[in-house]
Amino acid sequence: MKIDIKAELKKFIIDNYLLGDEDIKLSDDDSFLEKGIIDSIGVIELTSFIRDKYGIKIKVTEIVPENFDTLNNLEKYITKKLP
Amino acid sequence: MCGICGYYNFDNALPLPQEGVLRRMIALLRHRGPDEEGVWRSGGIGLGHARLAIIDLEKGQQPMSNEDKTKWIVFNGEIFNYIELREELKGMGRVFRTSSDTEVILYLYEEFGAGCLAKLNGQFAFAIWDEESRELFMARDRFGIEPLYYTRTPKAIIFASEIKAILAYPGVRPKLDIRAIDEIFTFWTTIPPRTIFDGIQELRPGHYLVVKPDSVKDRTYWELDFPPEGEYEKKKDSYYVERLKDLLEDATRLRLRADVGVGAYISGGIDSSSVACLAKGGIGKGLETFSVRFRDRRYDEGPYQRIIIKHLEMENHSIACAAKDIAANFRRVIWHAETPILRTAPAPLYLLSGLARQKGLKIVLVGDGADEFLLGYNIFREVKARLFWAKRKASLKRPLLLKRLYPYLPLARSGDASYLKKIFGRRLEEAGSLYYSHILRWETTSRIKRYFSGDLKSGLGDYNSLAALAEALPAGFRRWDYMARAQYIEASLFLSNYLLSSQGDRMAMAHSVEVRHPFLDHRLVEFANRIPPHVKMRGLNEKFLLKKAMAGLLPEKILKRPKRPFRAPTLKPSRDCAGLLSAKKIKEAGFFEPVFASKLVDKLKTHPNVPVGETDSMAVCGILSLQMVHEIFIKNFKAHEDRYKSRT
Repeated sequence: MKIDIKAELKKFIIDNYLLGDEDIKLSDDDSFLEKGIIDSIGVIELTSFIRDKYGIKIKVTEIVPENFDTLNNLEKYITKKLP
Repeated sequence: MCGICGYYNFDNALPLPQEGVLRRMIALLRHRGPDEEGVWRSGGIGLGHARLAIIDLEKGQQPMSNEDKTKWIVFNGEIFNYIELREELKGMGRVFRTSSDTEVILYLYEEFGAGCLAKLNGQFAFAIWDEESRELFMARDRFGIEPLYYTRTPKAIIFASEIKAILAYPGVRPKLDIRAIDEIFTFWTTIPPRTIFDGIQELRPGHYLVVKPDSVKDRTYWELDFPPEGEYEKKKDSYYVERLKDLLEDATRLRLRADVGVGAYISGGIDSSSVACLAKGGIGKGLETFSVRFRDRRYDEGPYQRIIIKHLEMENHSIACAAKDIAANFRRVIWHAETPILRTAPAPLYLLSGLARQKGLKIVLVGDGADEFLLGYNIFREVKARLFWAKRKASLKRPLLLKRLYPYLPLARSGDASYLKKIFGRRLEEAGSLYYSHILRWETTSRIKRYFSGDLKSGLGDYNSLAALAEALPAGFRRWDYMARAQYIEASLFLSNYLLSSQGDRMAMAHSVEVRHPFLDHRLVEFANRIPPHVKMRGLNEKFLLKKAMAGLLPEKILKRPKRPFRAPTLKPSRDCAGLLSAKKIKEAGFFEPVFASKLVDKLKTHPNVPVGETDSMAVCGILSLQMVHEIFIKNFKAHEDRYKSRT
């Protein structure tokens, strides 16, 4: 069965950073930083989650907004890294 | 330092409070002054004093009167230049019965009225009653080192060093001020004179109050000032370095005056190291020092502390603080702080003052004030770097400066600067705004307000903390350059209402320890504020002048170390704390949405080893401390009062 990575990520973001507040609309291309959802240390929290959840290794040089700052970017990054 | 309290009833026809009222009030301030207690009453006036004996241990009792008993004073604090002022008064024919600084203030007031305040170099809050004019005069030091609060009823004014003593006065029924809650979850503190308690105000730093039966007048005698933009004096670096060193030496020398021993806190940073170094020179013998170590190495500054301890050959005592110690002591911290706090850093300082007291010390010198007035904080470097970048937004090199700002942030080490660009590049276009320096910090903090309850949100209506702050700014603010503005905001909000109170006086006095601040000698601050910002911060090299002034006296490793804020681990709610964060208790207090608070606690429990984001870290500390303030001071004050009395 194909895993819906984006839906999983969206749930994680809403549960963890918005504490379940679904009034805040989060579309696939919204920047987590610009929307005020994640702060500088929150990014590190997010990378820890991704690392644990998908069992992938994340190099420090890969921690850039192009990989981690929107749902679409994250999905693309994780899909590429998954075996 | 001590604790003071009192009341002034304007209507003599009313039944006047019995002595027991004053005794109950002063008993709540016993931690501030465990050595002696005194009360004095006459007609509608009552004054109370809890004494921490530091100068003239034999004869300095209070309330103290003048020779003919027409004026009475209660005083909390220290006047460091009291010896010189005493000589001046003697020259005017005054005869002294004690060698205390209290008597000096009283006679100065008799001679100069409110003009006496300009002569005082010290940290103080006092009240003087004039039996003849039936006037009550109250004043507070320039920076708000010593606390003083008051509340008014139609027929009385009640005041005290801490709010808990005011709550013990009959008929004072506190409730929390929801505007204060909004301000705290924006700026980390209220805008003075507001406090978290509706109707209870602080006497603002640099202000005095004249209370008569028909009026209460609040006047300013000193305020922070800076030259208008572009009008700073221009002198050689060497002049500034020498003058700064002279002033700091003299400020430290004056602050060693006491009839009991003086120690120092050291953090491992330049400021506290400078003070300890100069104090050791002044004392001429071993200086006892105290430091906080953290079991979590991300917060620990032990290696730097060891360098300075070895260099100055000091006898140091330290506490080792873990996250569980913070949770275990959090309720006591809030009992003393009397306000919600968004950082846990007061807790280790509460423990540290306990250690200092246990070792027999009543006074410690600290390094606070250098970051604000000699430009040490990262927020000053940040605003400088962001403005430089904003002038040429397309520049590829300028945003790389951001990597130098926060080297301890994990993101500064990861990837390129693109994350930092995204974080600090927000709102770059608002470079001309009044609060440019603080916009990002306040924006991050304000995210917690998403979790305010519907009732709180509707109660606030269109109240806007930022607009309220704009109204409270001094007339000159708009003429200052961006750095002076940032300094003013930092000093008038964060320094006065958080560092000096919640993290400073309150945590030290919880164990009857007085903190003294050489960097907050007003002569030094007035001098520093006239120095051009680019001289104080060379490029992004913070506290450049202080480093120059201390060169040769402090080890290179201390002078060249990267700046780090004093931070303590995120609060991990203990069982006691978790109860107050339960959906039931959150709903009962009514300030936050219960579901969000529970999810926040769950999140911290589920991922105990993952770094917690800044907003969540502040949220858990802020929400829990607000719950505690509500529980301790509004719901169950009497029970907490009894518990406190059984301890003291």
